[in-house]
Amino acid sequence: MAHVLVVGLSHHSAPVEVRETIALAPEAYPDALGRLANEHEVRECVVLSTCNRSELYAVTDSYHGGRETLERALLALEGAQGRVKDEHLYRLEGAAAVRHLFRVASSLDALVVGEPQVLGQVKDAFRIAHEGEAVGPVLDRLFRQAFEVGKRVRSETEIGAYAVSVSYAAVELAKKIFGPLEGRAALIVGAGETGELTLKHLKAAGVGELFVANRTEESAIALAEAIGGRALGLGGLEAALAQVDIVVSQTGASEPVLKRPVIERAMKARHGRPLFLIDIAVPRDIEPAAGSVYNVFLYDIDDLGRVVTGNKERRAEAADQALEIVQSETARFTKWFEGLEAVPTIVALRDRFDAVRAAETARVLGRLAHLSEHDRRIVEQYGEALVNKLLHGPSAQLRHLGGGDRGVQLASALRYLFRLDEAASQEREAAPAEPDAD
Amino acid sequence: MPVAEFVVALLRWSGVLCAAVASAVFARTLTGPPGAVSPLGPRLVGTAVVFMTAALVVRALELGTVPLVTSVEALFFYAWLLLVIFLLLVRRAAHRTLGVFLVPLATVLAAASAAFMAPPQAVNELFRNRLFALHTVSLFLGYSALSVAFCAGVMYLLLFDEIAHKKVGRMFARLPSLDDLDRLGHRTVVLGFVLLTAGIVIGMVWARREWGVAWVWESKSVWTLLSWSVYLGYLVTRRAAGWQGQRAAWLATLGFALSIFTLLGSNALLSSGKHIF
Repeated sequence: MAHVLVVGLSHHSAPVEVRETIALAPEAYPDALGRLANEHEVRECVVLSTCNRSELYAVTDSYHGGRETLERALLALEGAQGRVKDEHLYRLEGAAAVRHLFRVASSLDALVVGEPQVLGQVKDAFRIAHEGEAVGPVLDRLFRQAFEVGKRVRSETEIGAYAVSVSYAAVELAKKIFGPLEGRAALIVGAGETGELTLKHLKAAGVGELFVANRTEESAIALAEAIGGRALGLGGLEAALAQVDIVVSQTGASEPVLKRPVIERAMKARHGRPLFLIDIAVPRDIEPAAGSVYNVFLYDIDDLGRVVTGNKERRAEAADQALEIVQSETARFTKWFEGLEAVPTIVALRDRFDAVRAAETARVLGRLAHLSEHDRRIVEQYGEALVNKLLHGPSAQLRHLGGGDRGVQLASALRYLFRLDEAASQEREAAPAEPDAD
Repeated sequence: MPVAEFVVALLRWSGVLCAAVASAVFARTLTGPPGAVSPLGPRLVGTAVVFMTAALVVRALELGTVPLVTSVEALFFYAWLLLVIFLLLVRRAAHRTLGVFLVPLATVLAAASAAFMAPPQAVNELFRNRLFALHTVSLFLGYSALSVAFCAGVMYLLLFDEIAHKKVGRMFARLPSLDDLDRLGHRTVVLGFVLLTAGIVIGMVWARREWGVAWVWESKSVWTLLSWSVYLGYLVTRRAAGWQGQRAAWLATLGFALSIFTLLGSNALLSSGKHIF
């Protein structure tokens, strides 16, 4: 009997000091996969390692043996020795393991729920395992379905629709005000971590020109060089306000640096073109009254914080919907996996043959109405014998192979060739549709 | 009802039905998860346009002039134009959510006109005139552009409300940027204003030729002049005082309210005049 297992550690179970010791680069996957695939217990395996998790997925012959093998393999990873302890690991089997992978792929298990990179990392992990021929029919199906789940969660819920960090929320706001940011200019007043991060995001979003204004010219020049912008003294601030579209302010000043009259003058010079002011300084750098000047959008750190809080709540709601998708997909996979066991396949195959036999016998007997009751029974027995004889060999072989690797492959082939899953779902009428081939 | 008329009515209502279903599909983009815009909406609008075009062509052939002789016919033509313009605009991703507002508007207009549509009457010789066709068609083209400006304005105000009050949510996740909406509004007001002006001037030329006077002071022309001046105000304040954004969106909304009243309501206030039809 085959088992789907995952053994691993993540930000839920282990602190960063532990996680970083065994974080594998994708280049190191093939080596780890090779060693794992050589283990007697392991039929199929995939290695997944990101900065927040290191996990081994496998199909094994037995639960206990498989589990021990995976634990050993994980602890043997480079750097793990002595640092990774038993209590850092989680081990999941069957439906729980399937649900876990689906949650990972749809970013429900991520440090920042909804962040989009993880699906790509799962895809990479699968691709590398596939190229190394470590993947068989079970993990192939499992991971392809996981990609489906990730895609469904992204398109059917609002999980990734809202920014959940202050700097990113500021960039999203800028995009909603100005559209694509290509060709727009931004100005940073003062210097600070969040401000620089915001600027980095703005640049990544396409902002072309960056200006840096600071009380001391040296620090302005230093920051300008670091981010590829142009340095200004505070004297150049007002002129710059007429040119740029986005201002990020984070000085340590105790008095507002930008007061309403300055902004009013700037808006006159801008002929009403909108200006987005982001004030992440405490105490605030921009006089709140400046926010009521026409076409000025002013967000201070609390405003951005509220946006982020609201977005997090929305993500949490979306995560609940996403979990429902994960549940139903898990059930779908489990059903398929259980169907791979020999006995259900044999039963389904026999049912299919029997249905054909019954229909054909009825048709033939309908045309041979002159037959006596005795003759009719002979015809019926003939059909039954034919089916029994034809199915005897395959059934015995399949029973013999059981849930072994080859058995699973053959059962899967039989289900495909004779469309056994379709017949089953037609009868129940409730089975979900097959996913598109990826 | 003669068979031909029955077929045309069927075409007309099929168009209305497609537009109504499209409206429902578009409404879902506001309630469903953001990002998942179904291609079904534009396709349904396309089908609606095919049906409505057929109905319009038949009516035009029957009349021997543009199918804008009665106000009900004009309304149907107007609804059709809105859908055609939407299909042209929807190619740009930023305009995709426009359908949420524009398509229901067109659907209501199309349904109302289809409900009151009468069989074609004998056409007054006055209307078999190129100037009449130019006068009405350019006015309705203008009104269509201004309707788009109105929808863009409403969308701007909804999104502006969320951003200005720091309560980003539904609109923030679904509507295009303020800049996109403002530019779409501005362009369509410019276009609409030019067409409106052209329609009025052509009307004056035609009136002078028919009755010897260029301007007839009656309800419809006064209301037209009023909405025309609102749009003039839009363009002037934008250029001279930097009124882009929220104020422009309000002006586009006001201008549209006046235009719709001019189109549908002003006839109720006058019992005689050149614009009675």
